[in-house]
Amino acid sequence: MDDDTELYRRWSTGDSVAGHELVRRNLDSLLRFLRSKVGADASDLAHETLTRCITARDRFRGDSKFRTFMLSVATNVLREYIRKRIKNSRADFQDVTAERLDPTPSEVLSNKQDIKLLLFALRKLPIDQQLILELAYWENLTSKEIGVILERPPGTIRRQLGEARASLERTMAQLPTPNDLRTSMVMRLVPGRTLGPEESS
Amino acid sequence: MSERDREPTRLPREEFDAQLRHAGEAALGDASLIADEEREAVLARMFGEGARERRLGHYSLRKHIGAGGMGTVYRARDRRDGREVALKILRDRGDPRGEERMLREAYAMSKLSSPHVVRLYEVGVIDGQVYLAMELIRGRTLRTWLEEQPRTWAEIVEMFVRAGRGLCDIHRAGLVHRDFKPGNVLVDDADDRPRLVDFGLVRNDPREHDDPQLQRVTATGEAMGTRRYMSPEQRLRSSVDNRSDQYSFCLSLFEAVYGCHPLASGRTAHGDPDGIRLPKGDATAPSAVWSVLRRGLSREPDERWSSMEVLLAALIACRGLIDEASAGPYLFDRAGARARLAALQRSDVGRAKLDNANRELEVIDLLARDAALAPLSRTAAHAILERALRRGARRVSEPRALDLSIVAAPCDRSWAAWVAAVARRAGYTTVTKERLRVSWDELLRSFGQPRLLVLLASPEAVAKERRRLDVGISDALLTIRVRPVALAAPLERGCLELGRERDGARAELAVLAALRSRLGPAPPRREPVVAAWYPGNSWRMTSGTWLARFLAQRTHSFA
Repeated sequence: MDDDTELYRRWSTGDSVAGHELVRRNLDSLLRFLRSKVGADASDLAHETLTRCITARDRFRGDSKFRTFMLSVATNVLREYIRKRIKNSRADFQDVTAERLDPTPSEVLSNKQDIKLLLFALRKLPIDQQLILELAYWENLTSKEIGVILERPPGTIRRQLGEARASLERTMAQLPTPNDLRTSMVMRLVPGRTLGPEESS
Repeated sequence: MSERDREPTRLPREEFDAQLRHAGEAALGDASLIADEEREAVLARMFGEGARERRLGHYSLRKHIGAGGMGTVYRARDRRDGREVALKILRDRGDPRGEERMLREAYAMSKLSSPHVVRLYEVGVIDGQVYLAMELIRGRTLRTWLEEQPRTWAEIVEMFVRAGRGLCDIHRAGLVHRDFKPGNVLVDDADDRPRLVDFGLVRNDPREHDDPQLQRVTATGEAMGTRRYMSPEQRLRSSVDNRSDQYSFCLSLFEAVYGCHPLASGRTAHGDPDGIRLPKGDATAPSAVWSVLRRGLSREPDERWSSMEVLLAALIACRGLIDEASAGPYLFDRAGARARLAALQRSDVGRAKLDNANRELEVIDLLARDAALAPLSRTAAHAILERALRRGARRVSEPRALDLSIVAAPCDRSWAAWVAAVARRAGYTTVTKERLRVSWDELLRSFGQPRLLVLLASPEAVAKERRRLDVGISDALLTIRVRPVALAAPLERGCLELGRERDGARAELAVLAALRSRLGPAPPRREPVVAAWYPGNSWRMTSGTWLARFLAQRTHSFA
């Protein structure tokens, strides 16, 4: 049992000190997850997510990490948010991009031009693809864990991760940036290789 | 898919993965910096205002800034006066003695006031947790500074010299940093001023390696990095003093300037007794920088520079010379040096009580400046010839690149013959050890003409020559005459040892100093350069110009 699981158990039984510590440990990750899609509404959604983490404690299975659980709750919160914002009860991650949800991204504090470009391109992908890439690369989750969050089989996740990568490549190649910069980025991508980070073996 | 997408790729998939992960870190940095209030707001909404404030004594912890091998750092507010500080809470190692020593040093450190050291406001223990309240700096580490954009060697040296001032101040207070590395220098965002952090805190606790906490940190590279910059004596856990910091400083600077760790392994070692790498052929820094660092990286602390001040002076001299050559400002305190030289001249040299650093400074000034005049390619030329001498390469490529005036190297007869032959073919004059014994005058007379003068002799022969010639030293003139060889001796060990040598050597120093002040500014750029290589040491160079000029005016100089 890792520390987070223990803290979560104590939090569910009313130990707010443990809860504070647990939230403090995971909040950056959660805020990043939400901010990259909804911008300024992130803290509201974060609060909503954390509240639900407690009310939905029966759903938490001890075999997965707290962070995975938290992110799957956040995913649901995000899905509801999108439906409300787009005023379409069936709108889904496939239909919407982060750019549409939050047209004015906060300035990214990266000195590296290619990183900025990449973050910019991510926001132009359908949220579904953005999610998969971020969960795989930023949260270092396995396709099994991502599958739990998105409620899909791991095999599907692996295929979609490949598609998301390809899609990101294309988007970056099409960004209206200076030509040389774009070239240098495209050179870094390997077409046709589509596995996620954890399936490389 | 556009045409571009199908272009062949040079960088593998790992690059892309790394980029994506990097982006994640950038986004995280973004969130944690801008969304600080946001973060606090979420916590407050979840747990109420009371829980929002985590407290340690009279400090309110505001934000987690970082974690290292030694503890966790928070941005915190001192509730007594509202001051914002960086609060470091040390990890409990269950080592009361180490803790006590750390507290003692931290206390001493809190008395230290230096513009190049992060202020320590307070040290204490609350609830068994040791904490340090330090000045809060908005900045990035020197490591980041080095990585964020390409820097010229001169910029790097200048930044390090400024950071080195912090070490000087620490040493002057009788303290040792023990953990100098680019990651422990903060460069202020506002004015680019470097300041040292985290000193005196590394404990020499042999149990460290069994500490699972530390091992975890090691896995992420942090503690590893620290070990990487340790001096040999520190690795052996024997006693360390400020010369250990000097080593770490030189190692960090070497790495920053040359892009590689100075300790060569296996094939790249070139016979240097301490295994210090030669700079690559494309290094832009003058070889003088290498020589200065080489000495600071000596395995034996006694063979390093006598203090950080002297080391910095030597570095400034390297830097300053370049500026002078391009008519820029000369950073070295030449007026001060002049004054010291004058004092040397006035006093009875035999009883001169100048401190080591000052004496050493004179020679540094002379040599580092002259050495820096050497065109950049010379470093590569040195390496070629030296490798040839040591390794038995079939031929020396580009001998014409070596417009050294003198090369003194230990070698046997067959090597001597080979090098002489190569040099002769290239149109250089060579002087072998047989001739050396009888032709000092000739050697000196021929100074102006040859582009390369190969002085081949075994170390014993060189020493013998020197002894033989030194015997006759009764006037300064003769001292100067033996200079091409004798020069290396004070350099080998620094003037520290000059004081222990015979008066002749000290007289030589005085004469050099006098000569220097008489001849005025450094010789112009494109003059021939005298270089001497000595076993167990590094390349040392000085300009042939002033020696030649001295020879021209010797009749009236030291009458």
